[in-house]
Amino acid sequence: MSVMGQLTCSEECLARAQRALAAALWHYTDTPVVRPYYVRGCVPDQEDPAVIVALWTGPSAREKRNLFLLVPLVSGGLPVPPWRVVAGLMRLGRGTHLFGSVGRRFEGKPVLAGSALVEGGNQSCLCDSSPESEGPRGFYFERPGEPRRYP
Amino acid sequence: MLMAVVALLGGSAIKNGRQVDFVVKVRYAKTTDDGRYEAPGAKGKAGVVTAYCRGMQKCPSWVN
Repeated sequence: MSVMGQLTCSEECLARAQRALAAALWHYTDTPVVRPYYVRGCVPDQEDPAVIVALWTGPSAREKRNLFLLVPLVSGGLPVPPWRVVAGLMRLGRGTHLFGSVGRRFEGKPVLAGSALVEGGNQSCLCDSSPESEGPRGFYFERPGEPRRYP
Repeated sequence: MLMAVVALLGGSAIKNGRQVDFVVKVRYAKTTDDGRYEAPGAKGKAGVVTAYCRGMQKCPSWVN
């Protein structure tokens, strides 16, 4: 069981939520989710009901940048649906955003707190908003064209 | 023996698609290195906070 706040998630429910988000973010691996960022990875977290969303400017960008955001799947005791994660990422294209480190590293890079992107909302259950979906719980492009999948 | 704690933090700031990575360095101790000042209270600390943007000599003005 994974616990965050007052919501207790079964492992199966958490896996379903992570699969739904991975499926939603896969689309943005070759289309920018917000200029200049593409999604490089959606990595299921090992400690909390969350994912690490890896953004990058791509291998051909003149100014290469990476961003690793820890995005919770539960916020304020309520589940975070995939569309809210995508909408939160798209907001990076407007305004000024500040992300601090959560004290962890992924692939040697600092992981930043992305919870502010998904705060708010009124969903009732981690699973209710996601239809049953097949596929991996996450993915990460270690190199272009070579995705690692998290079953 | 004077002992100072150094904490290295960091993060990123993004505005209109432009990303700036920054580092925050905190150095603190019970007393200053020269021994002139001591923070009051049992848990008092005195120190310095330094922040800078990676890869540039001056942070953009929008990085607060």
